[in-house]
Amino acid sequence: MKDIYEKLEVPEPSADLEERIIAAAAPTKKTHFFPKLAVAAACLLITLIILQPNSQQSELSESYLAEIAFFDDQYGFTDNIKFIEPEPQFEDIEFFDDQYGFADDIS
Amino acid sequence: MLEKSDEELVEMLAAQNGQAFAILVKRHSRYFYNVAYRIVLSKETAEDIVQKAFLKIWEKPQLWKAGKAKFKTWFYRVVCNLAIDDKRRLQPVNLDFDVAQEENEETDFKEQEVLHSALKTIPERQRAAIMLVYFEEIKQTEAAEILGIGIKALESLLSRGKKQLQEIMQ
Repeated sequence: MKDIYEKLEVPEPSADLEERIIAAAAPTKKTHFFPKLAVAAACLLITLIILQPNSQQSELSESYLAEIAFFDDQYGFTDNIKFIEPEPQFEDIEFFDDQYGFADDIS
Repeated sequence: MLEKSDEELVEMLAAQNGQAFAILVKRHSRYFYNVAYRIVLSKETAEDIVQKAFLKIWEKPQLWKAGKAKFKTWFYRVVCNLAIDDKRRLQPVNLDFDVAQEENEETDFKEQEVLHSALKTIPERQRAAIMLVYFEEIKQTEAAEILGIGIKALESLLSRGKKQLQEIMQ
């Protein structure tokens, strides 16, 4: 029996057989992963849309305000603010009035 | 990486190691192409079978169980089963020899044609059994394991195939 197979000539395989096998393997795994990734991304997107707070909401909640206040305080922004009391400008007003003689009419 | 055993390389496939896969392909594709060809007797079909077998192990390396069998024994099984199950087996014999076109090698061609015709007359399963046991000289127990049958069934395949081939060749 062995001689039958010994006589049987096996033709040379295509020169690019190895390359074809290796190349065929590369994309198969990507296609395996792609649908899983796509489904996961879609699920994540849907979850985010559902859980997203209403963007039309205009009023800031108290917690947001508390956070903002804390933010300002921790950097001491409010400490540098100085409130300057303006000096009264009565003299200028009087001079302005005098030059046109408005004050003369005041009895 | 080149000095790693087949079993080590297959284990690396679980982590999608393309380099390990390339080494396995370069190490075994030619050998298993010959095995597949001796069963299907067609160059294109044998190439497709080898490609399918390698893609199978690339996609599902967990199919090979480390403790059960050596990689080569297991891969024999994959290739032989694909070759036996190939749907194109009913197609007429197509000789893929360049010598077929050359008139001065007509005698060789005729001999090959006779061999092909003789082998084509017996079923793939018998052909695979004869090839494994008589040509590859694999032990009967291992050949039975490769073909996924019992030892008695293998003996039966060998006996029927041998008888049929001898009748044709005479």
